[in-house]
Amino acid sequence: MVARSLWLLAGAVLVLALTVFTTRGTPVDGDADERAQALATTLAPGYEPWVAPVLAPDDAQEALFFRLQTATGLLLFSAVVVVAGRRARRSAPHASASPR
Amino acid sequence: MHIAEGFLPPAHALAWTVVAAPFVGHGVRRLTRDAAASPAAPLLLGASGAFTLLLSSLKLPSVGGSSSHPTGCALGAYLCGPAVMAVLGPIVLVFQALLLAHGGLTTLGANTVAMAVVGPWTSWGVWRLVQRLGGSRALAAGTGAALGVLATYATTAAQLALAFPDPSAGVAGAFLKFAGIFAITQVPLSLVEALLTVAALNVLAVRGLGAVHGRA
Repeated sequence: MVARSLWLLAGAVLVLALTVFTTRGTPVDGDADERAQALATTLAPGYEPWVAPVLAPDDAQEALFFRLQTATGLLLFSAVVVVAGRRARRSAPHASASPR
Repeated sequence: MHIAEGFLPPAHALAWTVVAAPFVGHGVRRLTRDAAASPAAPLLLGASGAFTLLLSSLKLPSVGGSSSHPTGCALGAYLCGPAVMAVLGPIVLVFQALLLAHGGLTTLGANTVAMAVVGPWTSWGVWRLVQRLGGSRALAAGTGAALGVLATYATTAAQLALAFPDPSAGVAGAFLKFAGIFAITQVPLSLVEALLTVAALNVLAVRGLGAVHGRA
């Protein structure tokens, strides 16, 4: 099961690599959200956002916060996997010793 | 799928908040009940929230020189039921709105409906349907995850089209334009989301957290 998960992770990396490889040379033009906002302002030229974001981090700060989010998610998920594994090991002897 | 702060007119922002509210309320009730009923619930909730936090932070390159991110909401829909994702999703959205200027508080309702309601319910419905049709658990989970994230982005396209209709082609024309932007970017990423969701389900199953909920 773990080997299968590693294959699936490798598959995800392969899909990303193929995507990047097949579109190499295309100029980077913002993320999909930014493109959608650009289209919105094209469709409604006079529209101005009526509220500003609470924080407006620069590129370096944004990258830092994204990495912080990634690390927090990875840490929490790993913690759940470790705790669940310990619980499973603790309950395994009880399960095998229980009367049938 | 993050509609930026202030980017929906006030009436639209309010309307989507009203649409999201009952789903969040139902999710809170379901979460409270499940947490009290099952000793495994905290771990399932932790795994679901962590996976959503992790995947929605992965800004991945995609076709056409663009980039986007998966949502990670399908795993939670399978582990805890889709209703609970209406609570976990907004927590991640608030984090990103406050610290990253991705999304916003005024667009939280619209983004919640897209990412934490439509996506998880689509994933869960497809997951159930594929299993009922005889598909394997992995096929069902992967298909549900891929279609769930596509449904999320289709919803965002619809929300933007309603707010910014095309002067000549109307809402339908605007929807096709917005959906075109997201579809090109999101199709390969939906495949990535499917593979990562099935991998996460496998890892959790080995640790005894494989019993996924069959109910909403």
